[in-house]
Amino acid sequence: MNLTLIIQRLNRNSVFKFLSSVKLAVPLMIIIIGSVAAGTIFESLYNASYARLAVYGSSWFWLLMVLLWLNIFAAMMSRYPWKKRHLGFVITHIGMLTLLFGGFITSQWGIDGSLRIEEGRANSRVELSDLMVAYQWEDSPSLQSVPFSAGLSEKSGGELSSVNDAFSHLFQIERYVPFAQVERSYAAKTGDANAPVSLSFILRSRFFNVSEWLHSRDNPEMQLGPAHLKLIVDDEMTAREPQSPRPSQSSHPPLSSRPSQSSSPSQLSEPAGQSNPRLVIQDAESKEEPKKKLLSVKLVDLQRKAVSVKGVEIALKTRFQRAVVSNNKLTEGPSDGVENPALELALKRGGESHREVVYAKFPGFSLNAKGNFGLSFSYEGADATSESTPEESASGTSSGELPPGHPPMTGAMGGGEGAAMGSGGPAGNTIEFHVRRNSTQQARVVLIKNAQKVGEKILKEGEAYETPWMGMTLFVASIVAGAEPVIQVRAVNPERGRDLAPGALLIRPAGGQETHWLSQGESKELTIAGKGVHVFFGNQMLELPFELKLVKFSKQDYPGTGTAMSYESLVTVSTDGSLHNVSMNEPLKYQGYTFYQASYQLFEGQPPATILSVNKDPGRPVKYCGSLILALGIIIFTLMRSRVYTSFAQRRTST
Amino acid sequence: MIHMIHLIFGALLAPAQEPHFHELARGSAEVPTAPTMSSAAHAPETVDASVPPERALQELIAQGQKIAIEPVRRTAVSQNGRIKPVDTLARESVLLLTGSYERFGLKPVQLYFALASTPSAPWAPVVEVRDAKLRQRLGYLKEKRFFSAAELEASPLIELVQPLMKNQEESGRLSEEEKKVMETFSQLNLIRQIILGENFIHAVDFSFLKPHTSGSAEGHGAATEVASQASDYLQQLRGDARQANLLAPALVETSRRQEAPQIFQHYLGTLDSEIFYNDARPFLWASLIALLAGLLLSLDITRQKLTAKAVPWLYLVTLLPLVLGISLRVYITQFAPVTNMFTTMLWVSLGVLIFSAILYYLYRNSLVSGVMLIGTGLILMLTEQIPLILSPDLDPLVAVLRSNFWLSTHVTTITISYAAFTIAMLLGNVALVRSLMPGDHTQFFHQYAHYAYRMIQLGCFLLSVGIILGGVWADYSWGRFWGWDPKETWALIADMGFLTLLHARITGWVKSFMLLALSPVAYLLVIMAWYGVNFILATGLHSYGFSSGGALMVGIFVGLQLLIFALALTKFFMSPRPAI
Repeated sequence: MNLTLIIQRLNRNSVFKFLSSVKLAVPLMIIIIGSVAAGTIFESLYNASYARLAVYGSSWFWLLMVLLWLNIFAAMMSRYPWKKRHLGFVITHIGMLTLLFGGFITSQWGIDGSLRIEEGRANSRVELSDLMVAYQWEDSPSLQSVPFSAGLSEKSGGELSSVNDAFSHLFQIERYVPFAQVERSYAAKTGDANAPVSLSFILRSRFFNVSEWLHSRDNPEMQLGPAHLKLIVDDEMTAREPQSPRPSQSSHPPLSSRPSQSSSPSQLSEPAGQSNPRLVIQDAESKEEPKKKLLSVKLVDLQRKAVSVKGVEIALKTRFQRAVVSNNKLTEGPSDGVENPALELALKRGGESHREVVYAKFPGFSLNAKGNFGLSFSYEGADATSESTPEESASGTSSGELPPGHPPMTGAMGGGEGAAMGSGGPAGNTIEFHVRRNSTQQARVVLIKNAQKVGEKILKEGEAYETPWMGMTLFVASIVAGAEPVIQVRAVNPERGRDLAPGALLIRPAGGQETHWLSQGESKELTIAGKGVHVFFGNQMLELPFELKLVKFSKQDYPGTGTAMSYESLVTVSTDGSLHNVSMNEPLKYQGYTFYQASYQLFEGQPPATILSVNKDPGRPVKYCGSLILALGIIIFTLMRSRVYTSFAQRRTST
Repeated sequence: MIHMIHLIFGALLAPAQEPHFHELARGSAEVPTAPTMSSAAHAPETVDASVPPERALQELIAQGQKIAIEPVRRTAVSQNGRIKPVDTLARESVLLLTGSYERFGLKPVQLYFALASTPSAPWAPVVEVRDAKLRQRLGYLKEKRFFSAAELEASPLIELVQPLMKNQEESGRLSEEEKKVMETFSQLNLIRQIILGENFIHAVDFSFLKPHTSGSAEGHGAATEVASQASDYLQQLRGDARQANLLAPALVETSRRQEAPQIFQHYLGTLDSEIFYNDARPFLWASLIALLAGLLLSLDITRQKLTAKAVPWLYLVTLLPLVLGISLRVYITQFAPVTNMFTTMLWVSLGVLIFSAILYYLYRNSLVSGVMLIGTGLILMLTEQIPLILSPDLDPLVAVLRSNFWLSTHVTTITISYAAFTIAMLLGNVALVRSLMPGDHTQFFHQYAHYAYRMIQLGCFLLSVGIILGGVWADYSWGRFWGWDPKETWALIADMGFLTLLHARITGWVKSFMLLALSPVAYLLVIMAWYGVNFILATGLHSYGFSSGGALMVGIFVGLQLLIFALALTKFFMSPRPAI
């Protein structure tokens, strides 16, 4: 046979001899062991994607794998023609080769991404783990993209040519920073008398230290915890710049222009009837959202007499207007303290009693992780001047008519959390910074609580204001007139045990001088040749040929604990409307794609979202085939060397 | 930011969750107690002042001795996602609090209920603070090991915990030292709940488990009844313990009559088996028998007196309690016995026994059997000695493991392969020690290397199959066959380590002695895959097994192993004899 001859000739070739030798296999295996061990350590120190970039996905690791494949292949061929005793050896090694080849197919042509669907919505866009740079002309629906290979070190010039060649007519990528810290600030730009003003401040207390920017055009207001902050340019006739991007903000009149409130005395001594503070008791076990209300009881009534719901006796122990924790105990804060209405309840059922504290502003808070006998509570109408309930305030947002003293529903935090914040009842802590364009060395800081001015001070840059709230100190760091945003990007080293900073690209539009930073997951609008173009740097997206709609996500715990026992998503497929249940160990297979229950997101005030991992693996049959061959080979290997077989073979040869 | 503020409030308020003990003492003053006994001297009115620790402990022990263990320990309670007898709840609580299943001469149930019923319990030093450095940080001498709840409450523990809770929420990672603080904090919370009686009453009332509404009214009524019976029992204990003992049978009966969720149904049938399991300590017996049998076979004098027929019997008597114990666990949990470090160690012990029995059947070497029995005995002894690290509880599984088919194929295959490697490791160690002794061991090395080679082959076969099965399971439930997850990667590393050894044997680089000498070194890769990934790296998708502790012990083992290896190798290369 010809092959025998070829092999005989090859076996005399020194390269082939080296490739086929066990003497290559042993060091190669030791090197691979060392590399992947290092990979697991990187994963422990940083995360899986770092390990992938450093080891498993790197080009040298590919080279090792190719060498291993060639080594196994050559070792197998060099023993041709195979004898009977080679059977186990050959089959095992064919199995290995098939398995490795299957892995290669998967890595080249397989799809592995994730699909996030909110309950009640449909989605077909799968996020893949690989990166891309993409652009889209503002007047065109089509998106052009080029894959971008991430790395662990900075890239510039020629290393970026594959992307730059594709986009040379639009922009050039000058630099790639794998881990970038983006710092946003504002710097003065000359010109324009009507240019916006920016102000940076630091808010500090025992518990937090926050440094933020306000900008009269881009973000004149923000919500920080219970405090609402706003920047007001006093010499402007219109309180708001017309470019303001958020509709809810533009419909919301600034607080200073509101009709002043009738003076409200301390709420504890307030006559009942003028306000309607009440405890709402809900059924924590009800499946509906919002939870089924069982009882709503006015505090004045509750103070007089305990109520009983579902066999649970609920008594009001203490009512706080400015609850603070001092010496590990909940007490009423000083009269100028932060408004923090709270109710301390005693719950009793049978021989068991619980203590629970219900905060108006922190509706999800509970002392008792195991639940309160199947009840949940909320403290509504804690603000004496308002009768608002969450439903009312929610409708108020859409119509632009917020109840007085109510913070705007949108802030720096985005709608969802803002809504969660507002649902507990209006909180009225506002810090206003009043500045003038013509004198930006100072700002007039006004503290407002429930539409009442509680403090005012003129602050120069760098000066501090000891607010009467919770020992909170306010600094004005800088005031800049004619401010335009400046984004600075600093390359940082990955830190142990922290989330890795995202990567960033420095791009220069064709023919332009100005450069722009584009961080991972971000899209930016550039003007090129007088035309707007959106540039995006982030994960590659895959559009499925069908949509999945999440009908319901459910998480089941082990009874009596918070430990998940199972979670599952009920989805429908858009093309044929079929209904499927995706759960742990029970994936959905559809049109070659497989959907697995991977994760979920449950945030208060937002519909639950499921995260399905989406997979299409053309290498799967090859890998399964390889697995079978390998397992078969090992069995043959073990059996043929075993005593049973050898004695059997000996008996055969002797007869 | 809102999230952060929430956290601040959460962290601040968590400690305020439980009433302080002076409040608690006042609370207990309302309990009508019968001041007939010596405890009347510290009648509730005077409890506000603290009780000296020695006297509090004496009273606790005296109260404990009055509590009849039977039948109250048969009461059905629910905790950590299953139903168990209160015996187990008490054992687990006492273990977490005191570091041992039995303290102060009291059975766990006695100590548990004594804590719930002795007025001076808050001042009894029963909580073991296991970290000497933490004891100092709490403001005490590092020699003081046991703390009372009141001492912990007055200590700066809460201040140490507050920032950690925030860290844990944000990054989810805690250092070893921080974990110790959190552990002591959980001990404090537990003892508070036990003293207040909440722990027992909450556990015994199944209506918290939200049973299916379709159930019988009778079962529902039992839940309401049991809560009042349980609080009666505790109140009576505070008064006259002997009277309380008479209430126990009714409590047991009602607790078991309660309606339980469907998935808990089977636990109601295994309560008595579990009490038997708690009492019998099958693995301790298996360990002692294995050590004895191993010694009989290892020592020259006794081995020569034993006939060949004795060896299978020695294997059988060792296997009996081990198999019984594992079967009981499977019967109670209804899962394959390979779900955490404790159970995998049992499984590996079983594997070592079975594989070494096969070795004996093939080669009739009773000395090897002796060494393997001693090895098994030591592994089993270790599982009995460090329950705090290995968590021998029977609590249920995390969501991803809830698949008996894959658990009993993939995980059992992988773990049983460790047993084969363990045998190779033990053989290697015998050879290493032997090589340090004078004399010519050539024949001995050849023989042992053959056994070790066989075992490594078996191990590689099982581990490779196990890894492939793992790939298929991962493909099935995570959507990828292979993802370089640390657990799977280290299993592969261990497999490749031993495969390298097999290939190096083919090249002739590794001969008999070196194969034996390198087996224990390659076994360190198995330790990393088995222990290290879960306890040291603690990252990746196989997070359900993650735990901590024991690093020092494993470190000493690794150090000793490398030392013996280095000594033997030095002697081997220094000696003029031809390499074998």
